[in-house]
Amino acid sequence: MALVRVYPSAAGAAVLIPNERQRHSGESDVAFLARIATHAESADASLVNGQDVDASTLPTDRDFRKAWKLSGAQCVVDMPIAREVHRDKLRAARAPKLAELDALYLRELERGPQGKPQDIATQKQALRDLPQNPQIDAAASPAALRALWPTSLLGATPYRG
Amino acid sequence: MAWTTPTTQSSGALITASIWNGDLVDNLNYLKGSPTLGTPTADAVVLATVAGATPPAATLYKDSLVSAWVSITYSAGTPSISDDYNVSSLTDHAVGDVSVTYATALSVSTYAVCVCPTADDDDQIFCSSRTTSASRYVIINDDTDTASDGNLTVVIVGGWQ
Repeated sequence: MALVRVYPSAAGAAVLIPNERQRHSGESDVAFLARIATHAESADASLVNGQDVDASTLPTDRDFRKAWKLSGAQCVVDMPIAREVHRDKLRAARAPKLAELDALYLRELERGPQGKPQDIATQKQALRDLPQNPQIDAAASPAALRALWPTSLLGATPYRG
Repeated sequence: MAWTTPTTQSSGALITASIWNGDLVDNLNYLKGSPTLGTPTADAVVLATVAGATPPAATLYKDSLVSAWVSITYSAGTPSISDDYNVSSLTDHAVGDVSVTYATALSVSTYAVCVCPTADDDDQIFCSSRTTSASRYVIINDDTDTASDGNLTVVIVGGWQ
């Protein structure tokens, strides 16, 4: 069982991975990690209150890396934070779309009676409503959040998982 | 010219001014007959001199050595060390944000850092901090202009003063 040490962090948990080549002959996983972690903690004051975790149990989901957190002796994806990560991605992806629609809206207004600015306004509202989609709060896993990406409105998903 | 002193070579023996006999062949033979240039347990040459302002060509000094290097590979979202010199551990801080802790700390933090992506030429990598004990790197994907995991190679030169 390979061990890593996970530290609480504002940007998601920090994970210390010891270099296996540094292991002394016969040194146990726990002793090896403790020695290497002590060395790293002396080099980085932000590495405090770490918890030893079985590396094989770490989340593999990098899309929501910012949502990793310690829960006892496990590192898990914190779903409330993951939902905010998803909303931030929606906001970032819709920003250029809204700018495009702003220009189209003005063009439709200039067309006078033939223009259809209300159609554009409807599209803009749909983009504004995206972060309030109630399905986001109902999503119970990173995979469920990824599945909610509105490709019809925002194009290709930014998620890699 | 006959070799006079020392009459025998021992582990880690050095040719000093007092035993240099002025004959190149004799001195080379002496070196050839010695176990290693360093110690018998670790083939190593210890340099003790810092280069001057205008160092002579093709001459090694302790501040011209590679003091650490590491090849970092991401797999399933986790960075790991493929190979290294003088690296104790990695710390995965966030997506595209990793630090390297040195096994033996350097003596100054004004060393040179060379870091480059090894797999994705869309990545740019910045050294965001460096101390005598560790250095930290941020990987930015040019296409998305966001932090992104990516394989990288770090080479540290100097740092021994």
